[in-house]
Amino acid sequence: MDAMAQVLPESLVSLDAALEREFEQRLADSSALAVRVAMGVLRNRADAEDVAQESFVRAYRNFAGLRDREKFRGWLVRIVWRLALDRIRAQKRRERRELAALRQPAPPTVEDVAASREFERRLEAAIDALPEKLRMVLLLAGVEGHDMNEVASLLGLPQGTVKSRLHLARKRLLEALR
Amino acid sequence: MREGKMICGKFREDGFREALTEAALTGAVDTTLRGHLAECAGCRAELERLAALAGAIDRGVAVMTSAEPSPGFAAHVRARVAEEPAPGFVWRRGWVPATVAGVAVLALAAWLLWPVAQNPENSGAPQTTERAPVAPVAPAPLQVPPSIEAPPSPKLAEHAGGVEHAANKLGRASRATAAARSETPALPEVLVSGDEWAQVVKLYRLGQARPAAAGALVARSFTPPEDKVLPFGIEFIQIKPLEATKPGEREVNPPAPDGVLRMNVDSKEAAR
Repeated sequence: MDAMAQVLPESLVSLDAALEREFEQRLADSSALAVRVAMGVLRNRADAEDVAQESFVRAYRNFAGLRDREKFRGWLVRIVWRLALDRIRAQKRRERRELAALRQPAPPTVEDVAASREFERRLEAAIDALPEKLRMVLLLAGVEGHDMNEVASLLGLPQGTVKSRLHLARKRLLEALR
Repeated sequence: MREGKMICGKFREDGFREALTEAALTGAVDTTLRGHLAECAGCRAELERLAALAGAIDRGVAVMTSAEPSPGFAAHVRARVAEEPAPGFVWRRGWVPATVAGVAVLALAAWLLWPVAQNPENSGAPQTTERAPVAPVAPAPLQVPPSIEAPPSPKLAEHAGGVEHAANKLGRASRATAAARSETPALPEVLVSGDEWAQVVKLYRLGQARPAAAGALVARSFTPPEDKVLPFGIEFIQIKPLEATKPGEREVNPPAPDGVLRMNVDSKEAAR
């Protein structure tokens, strides 16, 4: 490839360089989003980081073909989501998820800690039982700073659809945990 | 106040549990519920418990998705990307013969199949002169089974003009919908759970065969003020199965290729 680069016109070389710079910018802007979405699905720190990194590699491979660069974040979210689900299905890591890293500050008593862990376990099970289209909206809305508009933009859905899906997801969780 | 040992009989009433859940999620308490809560401490406590639970769920989801990338995240991505070829088109050794071979195979296949495709007997069009019955509706996303394609009853024939108008709108909406689908979808959406999907499909088929009847059903599904049916309409809604349908159900369920039923629920004509 180096030999090819030497004979390529300068304009093509600089195009590649521009793509590299743009990708670097996207990497800086969207790393947290990728890790959080992966974490929402996998709930395992190491797996989430790995899937998020792999998602960026996949995105890099096809970055030149992405016509509307403004849709990069939505595109990335879908890549992360698919890879995270694949990871779960392939490796069956549900039982080995690490929860400790993301726990809220421990409640004061042992009973409360136990109750909190039990609640966490039940919440995770209830979220896992949600249909995918509800789960995705719920987790994206849970990512800090994402309002309905942003979730709708990320998923390419009307805002009303996102709102109704989120409401239905919360309602199902409430029914499952009540 | 769990359901197993509840004190208040209201929990057994249709809609009460639902109203309580909605109130816990949205904070909106309707008049009937408010009246009951004013006099029932048990249900007030249950509402408080549910509202607290809804808050805990929201916090739990937020915690679940609050991870930050590790300090070395970008460096790891760069290292993995460095093993990849540069983005964009890269001409690899071996692609030339593969491409030439592929083009040659396609050209040969086209040359062999061209006479077959030109023969009208192989065009795939129906050859019989007998026409299948046609439903009294404009182009629609689904095939209506012949068994329910009977013409409208005399009573429904009163709505013939309305049917035609609605059918024209249906056709226009179909085209508009197809155009819209290529962009961001903007149709109202109804998600239907698995146990209700078969019923919705039946209703959809009825709506395809007899739009006026379906419009009348929708018009009767709410209580209009002063005994009048107000003209209202949602031009089109998308009805999607909430869970994925099983492979075998595809034959029973007739959604469009993207798996979505699109139903016109305009009741303006039926209301006249």
